[in-house]
Amino acid sequence: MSVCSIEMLLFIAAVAITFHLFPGRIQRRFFLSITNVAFLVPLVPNPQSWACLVLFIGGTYGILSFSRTYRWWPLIPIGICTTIAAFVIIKRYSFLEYALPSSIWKHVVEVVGLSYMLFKFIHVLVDQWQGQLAPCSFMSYTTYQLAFFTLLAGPIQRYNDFHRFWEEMDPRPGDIRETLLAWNRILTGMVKMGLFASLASFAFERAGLNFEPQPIAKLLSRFAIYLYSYPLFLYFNFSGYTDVVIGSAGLLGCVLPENFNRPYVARNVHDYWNRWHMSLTFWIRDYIFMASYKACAELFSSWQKLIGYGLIFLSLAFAGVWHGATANFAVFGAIHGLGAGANQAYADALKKMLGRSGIKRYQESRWIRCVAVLLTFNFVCFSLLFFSTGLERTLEILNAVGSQLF
Amino acid sequence: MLNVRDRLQDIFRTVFVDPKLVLNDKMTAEDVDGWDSLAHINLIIAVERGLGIKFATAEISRTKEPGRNIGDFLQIVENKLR
Repeated sequence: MSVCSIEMLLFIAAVAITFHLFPGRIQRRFFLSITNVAFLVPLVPNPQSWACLVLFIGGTYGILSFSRTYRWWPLIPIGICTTIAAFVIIKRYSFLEYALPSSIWKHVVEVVGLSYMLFKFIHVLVDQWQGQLAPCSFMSYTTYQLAFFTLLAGPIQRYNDFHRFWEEMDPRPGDIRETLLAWNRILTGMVKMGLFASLASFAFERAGLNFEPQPIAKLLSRFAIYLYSYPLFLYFNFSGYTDVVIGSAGLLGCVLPENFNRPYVARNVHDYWNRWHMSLTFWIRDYIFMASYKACAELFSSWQKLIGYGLIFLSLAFAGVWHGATANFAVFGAIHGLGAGANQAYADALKKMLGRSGIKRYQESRWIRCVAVLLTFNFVCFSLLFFSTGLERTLEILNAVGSQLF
Repeated sequence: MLNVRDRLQDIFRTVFVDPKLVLNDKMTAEDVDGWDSLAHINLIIAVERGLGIKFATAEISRTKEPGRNIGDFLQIVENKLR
């Protein structure tokens, strides 16, 4: 079932109405769990995939229970590493082809939403260890992981926020104003996906068909359409999807985190990631960047700045690799890592050069802001060339354009 | 002996290299020059060292979330010191 379809609208309406017909918390919890399984059924292609999914949910909950009971610290790194290893194998990261025998790949295994489930598990495990997690039963954990409104592509909701909804399961009928706002959000999302994303996708596919030698003006205009249409497609498609799921969850009384805040007016790469796929950025900031920077800066305090730049690079490179199993995603992440690291170094140098008042003037200048937004937008568009298609094809296109230009 | 607020203010002045910085409860990260993600972790490390407390991963970002202010930060620190 496509997210942007009449079937999806009917599904959301049926779930919302039925959910509110149930009089109590327990019945609503069961209904939500059953709905999640029903949503999963057409998305899981075969018994092997079901087995992997059950193993992943059961295994990660087992690690959680074990670490809660035994409070033995090595369980945390062991649990995280084991789950990441399972993730890398199930997702078939391309480098594994060189390391593992081909017989391993005989069965097609697809676990929908695995990337999101991995991050949710790590967050729950770490927060539980540090005494920050709300009570977590098998049923609440499974529903949190498989909730139909966040399963496919986030946003990455934190467990404690989900738990508030899980505890309340507000038995009152839905508020009219909030219900209308939620439907407005769902329909807006569908228009973004069905109309704007489709138009941008059409332009992108048409432009990408032919980069053979041709008059330079034609080639450049074709490349410009190719370069700018994909970021538009991605934004309308992903933010439209997010609108649909935030609206759907809202109909049940569940508040999901926002994922987008006008990303293409960001003034630098760092700002871009604070506006694009925000729930992912904040997860990476909290559980990768902050945790590793804190540990490193405590050990090597005189190298704090360099460590900071390095870890910014690594965090965004990791974000790239998380998006997909092929080399082009690693290149995409590395480009953003370099951009954000360089941006932090530039900001530090400016602070030193201009002083407090100079920096304030610099940040308030409209001209500087315009130039910065334009540069960042083009940087992001360029990086997305590596996101949209395989590495070879992107290099081919860049080579075709470059060789005619120079 | 300095109270928690004064000790926290000293730490803020050192981390943000601003000897004139005066903390008040309504201040947010926006009001302090240079309070970005990196500076925030440096601040957390300095507070942990200076006051002998530990922040959990989820608490680190929570102390700088939009809507949070110095009053909330102080509250978290005081709760940890109890």
